[in-house]
Amino acid sequence: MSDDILDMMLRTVDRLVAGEATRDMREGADGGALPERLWQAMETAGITDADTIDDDMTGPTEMQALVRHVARHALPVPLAEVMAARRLLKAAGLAEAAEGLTGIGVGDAGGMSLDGGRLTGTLRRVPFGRHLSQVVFAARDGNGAEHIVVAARPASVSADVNLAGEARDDLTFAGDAPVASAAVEGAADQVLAMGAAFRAVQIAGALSGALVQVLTYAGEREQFGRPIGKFQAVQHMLAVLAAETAAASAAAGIGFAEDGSSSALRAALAKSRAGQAATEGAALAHQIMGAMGFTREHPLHYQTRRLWSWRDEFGNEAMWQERLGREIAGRGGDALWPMLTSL
Amino acid sequence: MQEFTFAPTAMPPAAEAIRTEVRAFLKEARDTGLYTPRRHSWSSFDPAFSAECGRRGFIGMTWPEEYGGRGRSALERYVMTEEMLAGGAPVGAHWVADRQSGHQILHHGSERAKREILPKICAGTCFFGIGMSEPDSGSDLAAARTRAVQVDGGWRITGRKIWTSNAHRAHYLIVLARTAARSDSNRHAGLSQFIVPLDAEGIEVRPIYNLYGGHDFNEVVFDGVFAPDDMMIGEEGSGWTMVTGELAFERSGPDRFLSTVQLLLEIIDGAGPQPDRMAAVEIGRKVAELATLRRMSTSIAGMLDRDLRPATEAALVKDLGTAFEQSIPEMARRLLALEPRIDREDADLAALLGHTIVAAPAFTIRGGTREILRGMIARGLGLR
Repeated sequence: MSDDILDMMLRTVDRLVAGEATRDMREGADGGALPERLWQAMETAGITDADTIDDDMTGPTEMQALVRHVARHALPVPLAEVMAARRLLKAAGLAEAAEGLTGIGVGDAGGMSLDGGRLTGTLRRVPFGRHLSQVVFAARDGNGAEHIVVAARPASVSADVNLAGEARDDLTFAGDAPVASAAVEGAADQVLAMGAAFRAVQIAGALSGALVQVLTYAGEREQFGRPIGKFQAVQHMLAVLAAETAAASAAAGIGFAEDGSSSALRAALAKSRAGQAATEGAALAHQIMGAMGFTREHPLHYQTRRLWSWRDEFGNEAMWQERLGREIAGRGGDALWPMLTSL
Repeated sequence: MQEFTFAPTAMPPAAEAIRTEVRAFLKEARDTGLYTPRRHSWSSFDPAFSAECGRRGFIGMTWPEEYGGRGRSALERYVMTEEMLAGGAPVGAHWVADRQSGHQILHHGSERAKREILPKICAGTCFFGIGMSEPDSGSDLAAARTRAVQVDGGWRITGRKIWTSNAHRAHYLIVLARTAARSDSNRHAGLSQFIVPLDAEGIEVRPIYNLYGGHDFNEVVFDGVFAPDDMMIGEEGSGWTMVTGELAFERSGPDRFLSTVQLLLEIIDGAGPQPDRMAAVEIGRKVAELATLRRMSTSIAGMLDRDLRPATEAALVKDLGTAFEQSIPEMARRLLALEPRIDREDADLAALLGHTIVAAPAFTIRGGTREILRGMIARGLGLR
């Protein structure tokens, strides 16, 4: 995608935010509903499939810029999930199978089974699950081989939400046939890594949105006769918030290789550091904004409740850190630096 | 709001070639006993090692060949630097000259200064110290009181500098001095920089021992030290601009997060190939932080390569980077059951830990204290 097209897309998002992202829309979506008008407007503007403009799909930089921007505005839409699903399908040679609203899901501990062409098992807390027409996930066949699977939404849907009120629904398959599938080594890791890499990008975006709100507030809100942003203690908190936001953004960049693919190693680095930034950043944002930021009236919570949720989805920091730590320790200290420079 | 997104910098093939070259050199240097990683660190002052780096063309890499440089790109130099640091190479002797002083001389020095000094720096036989801080000025460089008074053919410098690393074994200092009184309206006016040889008449170097008993920094007294006109760097009164420009190089480099990487490697090895969960989580957390810092640092290297001046970004990296390197000895304490030692110089892990613990407070002070950096970041955010 050229810079011009990306720029146009970003400005389109801004325009949609100004027109559609009303308080009513946000409150209406808070509980699991999909804001249809906003999502349709994004589809009409070509934002939902901006990653397919080029034959080889858009590079990770543009894709990230768009997802980060949407997350910065805390828009309650499954843009990241749709892009993640398409990337997984493309890598599995199943790009044609993407149809309608296609998201991604991760199976429960026992994993999903694809035996004799029949799917069984439960996908836990699928983002926007109830709204999807299709879902992409990993499953094991009777021989233990892994597959990337795309399936229509099953009849059994158990609705729930995350801290931000985004739909996180259990989808239970009981002998359903997949729409398409392909044997892919490490499929479960691929799905988890792709989801985590996108969540890292979203965390960077939400932090940036929180930073903007907090900066504005610090410039306007007066205490003891001057804006709180003039107090050194507040300035230092804002500096740390900015540093964490920048770190999340840089970490998210590690999540994707140049061809837009991810890997368990990349996702572990990205999600681990971005998750840390989410924790520290959300806490600072609320502290700086005082009691006002703790109200439902101030929109800061649209970002911070997402930060608190997203850091735990597709693997929390401790899960990824443990995995990463085992990998690093297994290779030994001297292998660390060559590993980092080969990313 | 200014966004600090740290766009990725792709290393050109030539830079990756340098990486291979430096790794091969360091392996050879270790095999032949030129240095021992995990005992030396990048701040170790080792003239023999520096001379070898000079012979191999690893100092002043970006400078023109006519001054002894190799005409390489800033990114090639960046890769050389990070490989040296990650390899625990003792580059401390030539560090300041390579990173800052030579750079200043090349861009703002007289032709004579360039011809006389730069080739020696490149050869790894000429070392510099930084003459910025003064007693009672601390982080407030604009409060410098060292004066340079114009005399026939040059300037006479009188005053004192402090915290001057390696002044007792370096060849030159670049001294920030007041050449005109500061005004209330412009605190940064009237400062100029001079190249001063440390064996000049009127210089006295007094040791200041650090808290592990080492002699690294000094107080330097200038009693009417003569500096000829062509040893002034840049225009008279341009000192502040040059000093702040220089600090972007000092603050964003890999030396701001790799100081304790040798201890981190020891921790990883100490945890063994099958670490317990606590060790695995802590190692994973630190490695993710390290990977992120490296990405931010290379991103700034890319900006500097494009002649941008990412001062706020550099402050961000130093703030995050020094907090990272400062956290490594504490991580070692949590994971390794051993008491730190300070009373011996061997490569023993307890000694490495001991030295790192007592060295760590300096990380968030040198090159600008954490609080000053946060003030700069706040300025970058438009708060000041």
